Amino acid sequence: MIKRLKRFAEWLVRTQIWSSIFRQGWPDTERNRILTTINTLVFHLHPIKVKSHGIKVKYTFCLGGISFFLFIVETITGVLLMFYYRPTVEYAYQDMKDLEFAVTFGLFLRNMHRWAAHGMVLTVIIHMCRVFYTGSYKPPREYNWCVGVSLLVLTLLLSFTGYLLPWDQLAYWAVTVGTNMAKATPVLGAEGPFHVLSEMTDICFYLRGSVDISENTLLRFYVLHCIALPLAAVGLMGIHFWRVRKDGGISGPL
Amino acid sequence: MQEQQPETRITSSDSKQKDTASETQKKPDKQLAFPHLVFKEFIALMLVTLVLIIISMAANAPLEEEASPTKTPNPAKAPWYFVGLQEMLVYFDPWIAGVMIPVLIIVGLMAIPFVDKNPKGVGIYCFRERKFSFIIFTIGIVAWFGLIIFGCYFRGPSWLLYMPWESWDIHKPVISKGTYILPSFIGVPATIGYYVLGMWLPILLARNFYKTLGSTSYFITMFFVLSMFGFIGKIPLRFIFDIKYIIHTPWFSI
Amino acid sequence: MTKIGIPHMETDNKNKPITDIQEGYPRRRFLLIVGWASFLFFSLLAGLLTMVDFFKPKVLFGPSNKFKAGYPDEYPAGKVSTRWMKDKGVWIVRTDRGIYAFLAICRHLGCIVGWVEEERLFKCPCHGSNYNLEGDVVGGPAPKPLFRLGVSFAMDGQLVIDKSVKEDRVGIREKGQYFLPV
Repeated sequence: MIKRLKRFAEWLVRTQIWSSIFRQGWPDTERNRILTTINTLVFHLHPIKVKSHGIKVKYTFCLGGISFFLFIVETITGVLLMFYYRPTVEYAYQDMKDLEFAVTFGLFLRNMHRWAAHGMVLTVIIHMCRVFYTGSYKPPREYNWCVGVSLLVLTLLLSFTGYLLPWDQLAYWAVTVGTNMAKATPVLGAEGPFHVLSEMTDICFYLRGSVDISENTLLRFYVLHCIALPLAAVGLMGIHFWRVRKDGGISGPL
Repeated sequence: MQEQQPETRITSSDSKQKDTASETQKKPDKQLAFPHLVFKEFIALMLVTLVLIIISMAANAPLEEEASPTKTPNPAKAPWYFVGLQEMLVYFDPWIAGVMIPVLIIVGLMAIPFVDKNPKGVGIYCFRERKFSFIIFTIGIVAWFGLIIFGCYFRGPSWLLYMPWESWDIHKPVISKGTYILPSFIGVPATIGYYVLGMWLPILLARNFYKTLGSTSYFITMFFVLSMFGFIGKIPLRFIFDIKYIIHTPWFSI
Repeated sequence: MTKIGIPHMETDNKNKPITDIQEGYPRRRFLLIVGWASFLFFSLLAGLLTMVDFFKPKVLFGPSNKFKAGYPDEYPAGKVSTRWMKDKGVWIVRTDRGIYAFLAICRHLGCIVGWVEEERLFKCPCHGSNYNLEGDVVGGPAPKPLFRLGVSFAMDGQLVIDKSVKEDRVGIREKGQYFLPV
């Protein structure tokens, strides 16, 4: 039986379909392992060889990778939630209830989306601390540190825009308080110091799409949360990962 | 023989050190990303997924009643990562707490690699070689999370002080009116004096620190450091002396 | 510090800066630079202004700002009426001299303030701002007093509250359209 299975596997690896997908042989030789890294889209984010101390868990605690992974979890669960969510004042809350009670695994998906979001904020912050405490922002990695700070800001904005979407009391008032701060922006806000703009032209109005939180706000936050901010985050992540490699790989003692 | 024993002990410990040294030498400087790094990442992702699934099954994401624009829940708390800012709102006007502090934090974080002239401590968790930056960053992070914890667990209805074990049903009158405004002949010189002395004293007392940074980096660093301590420092002023504003003008108040 | 770059470039004369953009023709060069710079500047400016205008909604849907609030006799003197709180977010106050109305939005960050009869204070649930019956701040972080709204009589003798007319300045808010002597 085992012999047959083995022969089957050997045959499978030799077929044209298999070898068209996996261009390298079984990764049991150094050459094939290198080829695995190079030929696989996700693996080739890594360099072929990594400094030994950088592989240690207690050096990076895998924080950047976990943040990225949580972002992917957010994308998948988010897209699934989008199938059952309509961003209107009339339906939004109703759809949340439907997700909880009428959609298969709807509650689980929503929980996962929410907790992974909290987790992502946390891991991104701790990742920043890790990078700081290992001095990994120092030249030549200054630029990448700034990209990372931008990603932290984007993570917070993503969480904040997502917070409104359930359209419950918690969401409504947290976002009321949050966007009202924009009103207090010096010069550009309607109630900030040295204000020049009215309530109908200040940045809070642009943010909400109306004077109060309304239909417009919900739609705006929805588009920002599902399209604009994730795209920006993906772009910046691309730069972030690229620059880790270009700036000399994982930081290490000189 | 007996005299020689201590010597042999030394040599044995020496040989141990040599062993570890030779071990690190034996261990290759770099390792293949596949499988060494990729497998660790895979395990980390599996663990994160597991934790996420367990949390998502154990705890439901909060969903309150439907949003109602004329009824504010009491208290209305922001998502936890913004509770720190919300707590700052008690001590500062919205244009500082909601706009200036976040902007200063982001700009300050981005400025770190450009003002930190100390090339040491890269790739290693090392306090000794970079005490100053270590301490300042840690104070910032601790203050940030301290405010979050305080806001989350010690604030109850009407954002009054409630211990975590106290019931929110207990009615609390507002004891601290917090409306004492420092007269401007004290407040303005105090603020200017704080910044001038804060920048000037280290030049006098720690000339070396100033010299290694260079004037531009020094003043930028000190501006952010002093601002941070200033923002944190207003909390006890408010709590102990009921000071609402240090500087009060018709246009803005600090 | 590790220097990151392409090693062979540093010894080659490939490293020399390229300065042949219309070299020898200073006027052409000047016009070229000015032309491209202004092209960039104006196209970016136009793009920015268009974007700003795009994101400004031109049509807003919402309930009317004015509403009829019943007859003055329905409000007992010395009381703060919660009658229009739920639908309109407005407190109507009647003193022994007349009637005025507050917009129930906290001037700190826009939460809805509640009236606490025992303490005779308007209290904000978000950050604990407190306002007295005049709308002035007596505690908490609010920087300004509550807005008073325009109050007038309709033809049928009912009160009309206009939420788009608001005032918080002392001296103006107690008079004219913000106060209705009864």
